[in-house]
Amino acid sequence: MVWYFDFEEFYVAAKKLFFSNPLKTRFLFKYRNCDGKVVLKVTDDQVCHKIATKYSQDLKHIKRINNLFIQSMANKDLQTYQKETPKLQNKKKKVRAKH
Amino acid sequence: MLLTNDQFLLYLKKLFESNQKTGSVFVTLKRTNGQPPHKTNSTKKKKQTTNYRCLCRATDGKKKISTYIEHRNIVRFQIQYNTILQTNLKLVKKIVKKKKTKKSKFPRKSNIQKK
Repeated sequence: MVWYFDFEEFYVAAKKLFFSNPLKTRFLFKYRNCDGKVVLKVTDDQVCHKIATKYSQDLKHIKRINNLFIQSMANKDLQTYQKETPKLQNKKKKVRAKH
Repeated sequence: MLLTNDQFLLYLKKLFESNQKTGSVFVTLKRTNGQPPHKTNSTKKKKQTTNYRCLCRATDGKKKISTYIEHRNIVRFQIQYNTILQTNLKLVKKIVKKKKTKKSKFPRKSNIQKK
């Protein structure tokens, strides 16, 4: 069981694991409202990748991973989703120089 | 309990609402062939028609619901599922503390010539 702290790394590892064994890998999403915690897990019963978060900023990452799995699992052809997708860019606020 | 996509999303909403104070909600996604994982005598004889679907299961430890997502329903299901997550996941906002630059009380006096 490997715990991740970066969503980009987790995304890459999850994608790799799924495309290596598409019929056996499953994606699990756990939410506890009392703790305010979300845990994502991708496993093929041999290797397991996990990541946990409690921040609302990570919701876009969670949605991205969900979309990847729903689209690629329901599709016959897996090659279209195996291509590298661009990384999510954090919107940085432009800081004006103080005169 | 196997349901249609719309029924599943309705029940999923109810699961989230009923587990607000205690308990957790689990949602699992898996790719299915329509065939059992282990080869049996019956699978060898029949012609294998591969119809790939996404099996989506949800539970709160007590109630179990499931649905099949097919290729034609992907976009619709995705949009509705994402809205359910948006409304039901109450997560904390990360506070990023800005580093305060200290202004010195005694500014540096440079190039000041004493007369």
